[in-house]
Amino acid sequence: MSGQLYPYYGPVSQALYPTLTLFLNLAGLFFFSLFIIYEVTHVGQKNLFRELSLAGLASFFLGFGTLFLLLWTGVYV
Amino acid sequence: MLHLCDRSRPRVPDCIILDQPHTTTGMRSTSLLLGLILFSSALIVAAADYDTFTNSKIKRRIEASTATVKHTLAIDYKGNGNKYHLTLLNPSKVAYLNVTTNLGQELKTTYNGEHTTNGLTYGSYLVELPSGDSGKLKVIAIYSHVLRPFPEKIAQNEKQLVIFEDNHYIVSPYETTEQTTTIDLSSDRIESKSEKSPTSANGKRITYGAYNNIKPFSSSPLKVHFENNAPFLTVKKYLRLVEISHWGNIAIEDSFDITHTGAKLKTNFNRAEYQRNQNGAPAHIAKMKEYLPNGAVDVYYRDNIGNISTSNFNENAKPPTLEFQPRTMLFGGWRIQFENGYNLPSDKYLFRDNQDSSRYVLNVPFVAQLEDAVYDEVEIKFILPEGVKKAEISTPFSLDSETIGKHYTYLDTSGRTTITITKRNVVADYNTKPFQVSYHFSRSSLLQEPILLISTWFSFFVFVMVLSRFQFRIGKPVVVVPPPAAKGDQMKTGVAQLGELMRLLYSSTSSLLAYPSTSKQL
Repeated sequence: MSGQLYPYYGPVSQALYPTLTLFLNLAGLFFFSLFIIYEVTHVGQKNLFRELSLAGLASFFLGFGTLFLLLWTGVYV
Repeated sequence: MLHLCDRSRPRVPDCIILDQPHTTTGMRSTSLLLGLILFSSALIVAAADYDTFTNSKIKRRIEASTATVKHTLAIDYKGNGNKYHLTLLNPSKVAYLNVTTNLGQELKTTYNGEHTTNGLTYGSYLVELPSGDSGKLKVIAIYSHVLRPFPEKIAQNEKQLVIFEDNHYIVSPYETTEQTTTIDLSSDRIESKSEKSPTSANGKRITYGAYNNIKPFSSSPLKVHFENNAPFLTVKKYLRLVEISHWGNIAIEDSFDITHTGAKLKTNFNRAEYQRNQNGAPAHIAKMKEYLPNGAVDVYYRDNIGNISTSNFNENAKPPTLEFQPRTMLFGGWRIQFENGYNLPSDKYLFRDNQDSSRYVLNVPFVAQLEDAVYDEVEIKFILPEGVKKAEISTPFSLDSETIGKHYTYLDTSGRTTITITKRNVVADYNTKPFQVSYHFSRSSLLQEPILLISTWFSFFVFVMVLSRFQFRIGKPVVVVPPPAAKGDQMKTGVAQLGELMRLLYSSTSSLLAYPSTSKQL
């Protein structure tokens, strides 16, 4: 059942954590702000698709950004 | 000495054959016989299924220079059969046992219980020999808690004396043609030693023998009283947490509950005297040293109160070394608790199976390599990633217990599978044995944590969307007339509005800033 064993490397190198945290969170916050601007400027005449796509992009980048922030700070989830 | 013969094994030479009780001898002789059988029951157990061997030569080396005592036996045996009975005194104190051939091939050894023969209480171990009628064995046995401090209480500036007790003859169920014992002590100050001609002492070394043609289970108590100021560092309770993250990290945290089990302090601790001359307290422990696994980073050392700063980590040493001073020094009977931890890279200690891509094998040291430490109770908890299946442990040595549980930590939903194992009486030499934890984990489960975070953020946005669809204004609802801007210009309008907001903010803050000057005028 057991074959040869190979060292296991994590999917992302630890050296990339700070860079990834910075850029993913920046991208996430950019879409976050676009979403908020859209929300406050389009009172009563919202396009649901536009709202959801902005929210989706923001949460994707912020989600991964938060993950790498946790990993960078040593909370190995 | 005589054994009762096992009739199925007639080749045992020195034994008496008991006849069936004769019908005419009556009750008296029958009960006598019964008594004899009861009396010799230990002999039957001990001798019944021993293959016949002769030890042509045994060299025993006893190292008693630290708190543990290490016995190294080089046995030359002759005989037939493939089950050699190895007997060791004080089996409950044996912390580690390794039996190999002289070529280093490890031999399977099973513990066969504790027996008493001829006043000697010993543990019997069955060694499965490779084929051949004669050969050589190398036995390493490490004992903990066999050096008894005597006197039991000493003053702060006194040296520690200990008593070591064993048998002059190497205990064996077989006849031994020639045997020698050398004892290496920690100092040449020997208060007393038992004599059994020929006995010689030279500096830190005592030699007993050579003794020739020793009968099985020959008894002759050995006793050495000598100076030993080695740290008697006993980890009464040791807990290790090993947390695996498939993002590429293994986090290890060790908690120690340490007691100095050497001679106790006779009087109260004298701080002034201690500060004046710290070398004047030879039996106390002021510093500890721990060898960490290669690749250890992010080392910390703390206790219940907080971080302890008197530590020094040399990460370039091989192995990386952590030297630290506990919060207080340790005198005999004193106790201290602390924990330390570090991170290990997964590529050195976690392996994936080439044939079964979802199978992973973890290979970390069993216990911490704390110098001179003896572990009384060891508990190790492996926290595996969330969603593992078929977790199992394989050890070349026996464990006291093994339980599967759950652990909840950051970003967990169903909880992480844990394996907790316990073992009593452990020394760091177990780290040389292959010890593995294996489990099955699907790579896609790794995405569970980012998906959890993304959905949390997304639910926040949905909440904002729902909120923005309500009117919180008191009075008439605002009717919004769509601006005449062309499609695609909406964003620009948004940015312009944000600019307007910023201007408003600026004017309000500038009026605030102007406030002190107006107050002055007042």
